Amino acid sequence: MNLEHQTKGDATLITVNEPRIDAAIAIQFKDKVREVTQDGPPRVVLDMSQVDFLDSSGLGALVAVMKQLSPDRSFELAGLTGAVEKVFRLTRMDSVFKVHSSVKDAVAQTCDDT
Amino acid sequence: MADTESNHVRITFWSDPFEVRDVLHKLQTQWSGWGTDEELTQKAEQVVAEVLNNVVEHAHREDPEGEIILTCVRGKSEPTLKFEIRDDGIPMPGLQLPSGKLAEFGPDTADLPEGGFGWFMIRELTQNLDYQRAGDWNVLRFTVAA
Repeated sequence: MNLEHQTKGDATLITVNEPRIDAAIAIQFKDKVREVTQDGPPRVVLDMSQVDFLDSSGLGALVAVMKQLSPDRSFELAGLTGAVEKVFRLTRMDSVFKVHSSVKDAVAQTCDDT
Repeated sequence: MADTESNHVRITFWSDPFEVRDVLHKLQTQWSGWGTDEELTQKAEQVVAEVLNNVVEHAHREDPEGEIILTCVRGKSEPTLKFEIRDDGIPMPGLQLPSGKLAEFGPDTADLPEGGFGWFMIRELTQNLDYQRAGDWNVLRFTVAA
């Protein structure tokens, strides 16, 4: 499970260096994200731009992370690729997550806010 | 790839999430060889992943000795992919497929569903979805169209 994380203004930016978040790694993924967000700034932004496949296990893991961070911290997504975006639309989870069109947008917002 | 003909592919494998990944990769290679439309292959990969995950987790209860046989046939003239997925795991409860209804959710994050997305997507993205128990095998058939 390859995740990188850094602090950018009021956000922790987590970059997913994996092409898939699927049943094979969903539990590891959830644990790792929890580990790197134990404490830190109020926003957590997940850079999904390298992820080209998300299955229901992966989606469930994202929801679980958001539930765990809420209500004190927000869990936001950036850089959804075509197939991943379709999964969000189909399951109506696009109405639940704050989705930024790009990491740059998410980070720009961080700069505006600080 | 084992047993490939011009219009169909059959893959036999063991019940394991990494095997599932490998099979999806093999299918993508085959679809690419057929020149199948990308929108169709994207849908098909999603559905097959969801079906196989359910087989691994529920029918085989993560028993790595469970066997799965997947057959994919491409449409002759129409842009479709037809699938048959057989597994020797336990039958579907009540010999019926899950309804695949997405849980209702409100504005409260704490109430969001973490599961139930799989069968919902399978039902949304397939046609002619059919389940039968044949001897010791679950047999699921469906079509994915562009």
